[in-house]
Formats: sequence, structure tokens, C-alpha cells
Amino acid sequence: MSEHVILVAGPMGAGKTTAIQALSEIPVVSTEAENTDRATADKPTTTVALDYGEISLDENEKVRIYGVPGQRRFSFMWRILEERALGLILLVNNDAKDPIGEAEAFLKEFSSLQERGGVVIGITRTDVAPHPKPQAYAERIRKTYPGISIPVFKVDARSAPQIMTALTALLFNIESQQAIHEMEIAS
Amino acid sequence: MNNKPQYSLGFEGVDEYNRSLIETMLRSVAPFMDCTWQMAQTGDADVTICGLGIPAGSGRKNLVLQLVNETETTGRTEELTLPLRLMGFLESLKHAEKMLRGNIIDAAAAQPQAAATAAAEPSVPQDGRPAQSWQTFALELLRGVTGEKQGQMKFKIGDLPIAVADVQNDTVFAAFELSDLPRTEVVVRHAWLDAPVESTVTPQSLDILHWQVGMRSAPGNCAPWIKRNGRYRLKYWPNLAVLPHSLGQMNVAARLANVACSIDEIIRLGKLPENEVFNIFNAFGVMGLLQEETLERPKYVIVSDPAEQKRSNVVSSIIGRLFGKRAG
Repeated sequence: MSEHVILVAGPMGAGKTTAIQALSEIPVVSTEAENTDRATADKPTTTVALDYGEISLDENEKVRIYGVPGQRRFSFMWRILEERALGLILLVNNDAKDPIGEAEAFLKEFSSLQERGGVVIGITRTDVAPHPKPQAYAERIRKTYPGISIPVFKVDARSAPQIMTALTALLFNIESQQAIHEMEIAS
Repeated sequence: MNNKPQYSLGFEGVDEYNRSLIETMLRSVAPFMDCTWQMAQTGDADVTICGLGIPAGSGRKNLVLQLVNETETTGRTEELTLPLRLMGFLESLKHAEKMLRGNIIDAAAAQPQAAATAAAEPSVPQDGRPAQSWQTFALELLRGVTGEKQGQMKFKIGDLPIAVADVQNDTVFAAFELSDLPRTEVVVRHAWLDAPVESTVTPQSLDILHWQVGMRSAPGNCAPWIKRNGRYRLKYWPNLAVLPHSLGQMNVAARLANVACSIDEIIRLGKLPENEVFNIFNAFGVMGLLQEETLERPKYVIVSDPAEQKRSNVVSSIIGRLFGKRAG
């Protein structure tokens, strides 16, 4: 059995569990508990360990999707998963106080994935908070990490096609990075 | 260089000597000019050079450059003074190019009230040609992208209801799906509004309008804002989550997001049919996403597609299986 790991990360309330539910072909295994931090995200429950979903490519190959808890006290888990992961879907809610700052903080945490093109950013809740725009994210990221291409999309975490687009962009971006890396070696 | 000609030049009543001289000048300078010209193969040229004593005439559909003797010149930019000199000729072409690119738009922008009325009651001019094509509409949208124009623009595409593009808020208020615009050349009218209008329809992303109009702006060819041999990289990814796109288009976006490429290189990559490669560059241009690489020696050059096709890696395999399965 061959497997590929995709992580879904982001601050609490960004829609990680919902996005995995939109992608997964199996009922998502969630570890929700009562949310004791209603100030950060006003929802009754939050993920305390992992969410898990999967897409099977064929009988012997699967994409495993792990949603990692958004709170930084769980960051030790991020390290473990990052090593195995092919890429990361980073969800950021646009109505947060400093959404671009939050995105940057997560990019820093997952720097090894980010350096090899394995990150896509999905901005959620743009219906209630249209600003900052995706290009503002892209421009700030470009300043911090010149030369690195990170797709930034406005997404509705409930929309399977939109989350699938984010996943596809992630895969194509990694593929392009690899192709360019090979050209670099060849030249 | 092999710049794609964008405008055509024709003759009417020009003597053999001057005709030959103009053709020679054009041939010799064309490779070095950003905007290229070609001699018209038919009588329907963008610009007609009229010989001595041939009146420019009224009711012409195209632009006219009038040959005049040095002693009779009035100094107007539409005049080509004899004996012909290269610099004067080039100046006239530049002026003609500006006219061709801008005059229709300027006319509409200069008369917002009249244009707004026209948008409300569209009609095809008597000569049967559309008042505005996809390309001129794309040029107008570009003015919003570059910040030259701000606020809201009212527009009407063919028989579709009037819609409003809000440049400030990246939204379009339209009672039809922007992802489902007609594919053929249609009359497109527009007018920038002095005051914002309110709409009750659900807003759609302005990106979709840019994308759709850009795709239609010069089917299978370079639009005026794209250089045939330019190498471009995406400043940032287009918001493909809301744009109707194919996997091939996303693949091209991924490549251009990571490295500057020319149109020919992307064609060689083989991810999209040739005409679609032109279309996607045109669309990215309208969206303001392209940044031209000016390095004399590019960092990377895509040499051939087969080597790339043979490359086998985990990601390609996942993409293939994921979408092979979904398509099935």
C-alpha cells in the first residue's frame, strides 16, 4: 500500500475540518472536543488531536488527509506530520485580526514544505471580510520569501470543488517546482 | 525576433517608388519595433496610406496617413511628408498605433453620459461593425487593473442584461453567469460611472470577467498587451478556485508562477493546444498578473516537451490517478 500525506492546517475556526469533509471519500474521523476558547473562534467544538480523511487513487494507493489542530500548543504534532507530508493546505480566516500575519506564522512553522512549493493558502470567510485581498497575501509572502510561489485562493471550505482546486494547485505547484529543479540540475 | 504583426498597412494611389520605399522601411525596422506592422494582404487595412492628391475622404472605416509634399505640409501627425524619411515614418506609425488602440475607448470615456445611454440602449453602428469588441473591452478593463480608472463601470455584452463591474471591490453585479459568456465576437459597450450604483444581484468575482474577456480578446493570437517573444512570470496565482478552468490551464499557471516562460516555451510544454496558450497569456495579461522578465539570458529555458513528459514522479502520478479516476 502506497500512501501520500496532505496536511490541512491553520488557525482555529478557519474551516479545516469542514475542508477535509469536503475532500474526503470516507466519513471524516474527527476528534472534536468542547471549545474552551470562544474568544478566538466562536464555535462549540474544536479539533484537539487530528481530523482524518482520505482519497483513494486505486486499490493500493491513497492520499491521506490530516487536519492538524490549530492551537500552537499542539505544534509538536505539526513537526511529526510535516516530515511525512507531501504538501499543506493552509486555511486562514480573513476576518481574523491579522490574517496575513497568521498565514506567515504558519508558513514559518511549515518552512520545509513551503520551500519545496508544497503549500497552498485558502482564504476563508471572505464573504464577511473581503479584505485583505489574495494579492495582498501574495505580495507579503513574496517579500518575505522572494522567488517562492505559493498559490493563494479565496475558498469556501464547504465547497468540495474549491477545496479540490486548492489541492490540485498544490500538486501542480510541487510538480512545477520539481521540474524546474531538474532543469537547474541539468543545466 | 519574430514579433507577431498586430496592425496592417495598405496603399491607395501611392506611386511605385514610394510604395517600395515604405515596404522596405517597414521590412527593415519591423524586427526592432515593439509594435509590429505588416503590409495588408487584402484591401481591408487598419491604416491606409493615401498618395498625393488622393483625398482621405470621409466615411472611411480605417485610419489614413496622407502623403503630402514638403511645401504643402500642415504638420499634422496624419501626414507623411515627401520625400519620405524613416524617423517621420516611424513617428506616424506610432501615432497611428495609439489611435488604433485608444480612440474608441477615449471617445466613450470622454462622453460618459452619452456612453451610459449607449450602454442602456445598445445598437450596432450603421457600418455593421461592433462598436466595441472583446479586445477593446479588455483594454478598458486593463485600465481598471492598472489603476488608471477607478470606481464602477457599466457594461453590456451582446443581448445579455446590463451589468456593473466594481473595480474597487473586485466584484461584478450581473444577472447572468460570468462563466458562461458567448464565445463569438459580440457588441460590448461600456461606460465608467460618475457615481456608484447599487445592485440587488449577488456579486460575482471581477477575476471571472477579466479571465473570460481576456480569453476572448485575441483568439489564438497575441493581444496588444502581450509580446510574442516576451518571457513572463505570474506575479501571483490567479484565483482558480472561482475561475472556470481546465487542468491544462492550471498546469500552465503553475509553471508560470514558478518561472518566466515565453509563449513558445509553454506551447512546447504541450499542456495546452497552441491557440489556448495564446488565450491564457492574453487573459493573465488582462488580470494584471504578468511580469515580464528582462534578463538577457533566461534562468531556465524549456527545451522540449518529451523529456518532460517522460519524467515520472510521485506528484505526477497522483495528479494522473486523481483526475483519471474523477474523469472516469
